[in-house]
Amino acid sequence: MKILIKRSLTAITSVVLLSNIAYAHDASMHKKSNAEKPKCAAMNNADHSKMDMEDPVMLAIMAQCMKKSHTTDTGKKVMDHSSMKKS
Amino acid sequence: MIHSKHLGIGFLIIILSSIGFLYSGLFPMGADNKHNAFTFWVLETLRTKSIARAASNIEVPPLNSPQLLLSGGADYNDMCSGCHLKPGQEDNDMALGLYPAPPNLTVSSDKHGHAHEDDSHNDIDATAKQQFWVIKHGIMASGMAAFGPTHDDERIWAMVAFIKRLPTLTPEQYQIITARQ
Repeated sequence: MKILIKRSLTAITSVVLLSNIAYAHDASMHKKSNAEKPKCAAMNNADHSKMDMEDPVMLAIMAQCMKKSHTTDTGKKVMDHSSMKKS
Repeated sequence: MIHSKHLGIGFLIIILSSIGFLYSGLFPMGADNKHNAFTFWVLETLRTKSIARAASNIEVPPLNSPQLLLSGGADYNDMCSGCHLKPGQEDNDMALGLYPAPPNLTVSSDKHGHAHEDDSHNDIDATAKQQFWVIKHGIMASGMAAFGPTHDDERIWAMVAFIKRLPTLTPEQYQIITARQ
């Protein structure tokens, strides 16, 4: 009986410790309450005709700014993607 | 016989002197004290050869996904930019104060100020392998931490993907991609 209790305690302790290690640096742990929001207005003056719509950088920027426009209702102008070129 | 006796005594003197120097505290340990050319060459050769060998069998996954840039960008901004800088920055306290100086990753690998094994900065795959290995394992006694114990391979590859595109980013693009929402 004592051995069973000892083994159970060891197993529970191991699971608790391992789960703490696994979640120690989950991406959500990096989020700060005062984290900077993407400043998408900075892209409004960019020449969209020279942008490559299939470039991962542009796709990442569009994803961030579209996410922002869906999560905040600021009424600000969003990027005009219609004039972007396709490579 | 006499020669080997003298050789043995000489060897013993060198060992005892080395141990004496270790315990004397005379070695200047400050990061503001630069290595001499020979020590620098030895350490740089040790670093580049070791990392190139250790990273040689790593398989590089596709690194062109925008999701990788977003994940890696946010992590880079939180964990790396303090030493390896952001677009528009030329230096900061950490970049100036660490020795060896951390490479400026906002400029291309042939310009960011440290040696690479052979021409690995011209080989995108070799560079990616070595960056992955360095982020995962760190570099001993250099200030470069190992992120492997706390970050899985997928997140480390995302950082590699972001670092690959970092020299092409403007400060505005960097701000948008690295912001956590």
